[in-house]
Amino acid sequence: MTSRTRWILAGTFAFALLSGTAAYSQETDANSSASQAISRPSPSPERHTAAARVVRVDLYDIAMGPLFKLAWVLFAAGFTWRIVLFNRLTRPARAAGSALPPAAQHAASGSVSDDMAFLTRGMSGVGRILFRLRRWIRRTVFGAHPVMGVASLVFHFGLFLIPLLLPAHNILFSRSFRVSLPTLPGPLMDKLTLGLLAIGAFFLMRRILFPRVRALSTLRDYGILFLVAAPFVTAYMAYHQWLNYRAVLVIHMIVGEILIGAIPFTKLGHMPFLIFSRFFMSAEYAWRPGNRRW
Amino acid sequence: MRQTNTDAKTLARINRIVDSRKSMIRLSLQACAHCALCAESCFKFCQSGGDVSYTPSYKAINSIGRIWRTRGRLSDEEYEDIRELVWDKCVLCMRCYCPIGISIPSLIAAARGACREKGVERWHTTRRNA
Repeated sequence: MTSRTRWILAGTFAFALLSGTAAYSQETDANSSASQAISRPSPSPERHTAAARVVRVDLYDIAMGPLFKLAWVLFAAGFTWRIVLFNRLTRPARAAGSALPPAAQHAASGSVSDDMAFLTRGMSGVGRILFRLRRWIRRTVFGAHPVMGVASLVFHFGLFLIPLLLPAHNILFSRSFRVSLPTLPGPLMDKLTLGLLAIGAFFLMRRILFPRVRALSTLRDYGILFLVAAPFVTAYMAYHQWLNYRAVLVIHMIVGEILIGAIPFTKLGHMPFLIFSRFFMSAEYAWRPGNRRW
Repeated sequence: MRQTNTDAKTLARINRIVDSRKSMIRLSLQACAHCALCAESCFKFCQSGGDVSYTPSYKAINSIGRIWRTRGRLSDEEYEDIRELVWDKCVLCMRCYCPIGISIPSLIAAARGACREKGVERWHTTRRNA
């Protein structure tokens, strides 16, 4: 992270805290003036006394309101900025096949599997599909590291699905936005959270124990792993009402919001990066359409 | 302060090469999750019997990553380390597989470009020039 980005982030969080305080004091002003309006319909000269009152800042309200909005604004802005950057950095490229001379196009036009048709001779349709799938999987990370590949896939899906399908979150969704998603039962989610944390622990142990991963690891990698795990740990603690429920809940919200806001600006930026590079960059392992290059 | 043996003109040339792919390098280095899943896709890694310095991401991070962070102001010993990484330990066969989709060969090619400006090349080339 460059020093400029650090300053921008620090400034934004300072702004968030300040605007949170401001929004809260405005709200209390509005409430008090509303109550005054009820009791006294005509505007009175001593209304400034309400503004002069000391405002008690409640972290819960800040985390529920302004910080939540700010986290998503940061996320959306960062994500859009990434898309713009990718668009500017890359240019359209012809699909891998059409850039070749006509005689070589057939071999590169995705019909390579057809050249291997003799391997699947005599197989049923399903068998042929499974054979091709196996050949394709063998070239990807699932072929080289089946355990890590599956663990990583489950972990990443869990990161999105557990918060989205949680009943408690969906109650908040329906209250705020009047929409909610289908939910899975809370006790099941509890177990899934534990599973997710177990996979996180596996990643941590891998980082510590495997020489090749340890050689690449920096303090930031460990920090990101803990930042990702923190909302789930606090959620588990809040669900089981360990320690002070309200304090844990506030920490859960703030950590989650930091996580959402940090996605485009930290190592978690591999999320927008993956979407773009895997789908749009012309490469051997690209998914469709794969029609751009650096 | 690091002891550098690179004159301003060479530094400018190195930085021109790095700057021409600035955003790609920055985005890629930032997106790298340091998962080391690219290791087995490198035949040099497999052939070396698991030497961590043959991991493709290790080669990219410790070559172009260092040049990028220091704007090319590295000591001769450090350039020597980078020479080993990008010229001896990588053949740019483009077979490295990154689950995230980072183009590791592009990063190593950028590092090679920067090294060429510094005169850090394959050992037989430098030996002949010496």
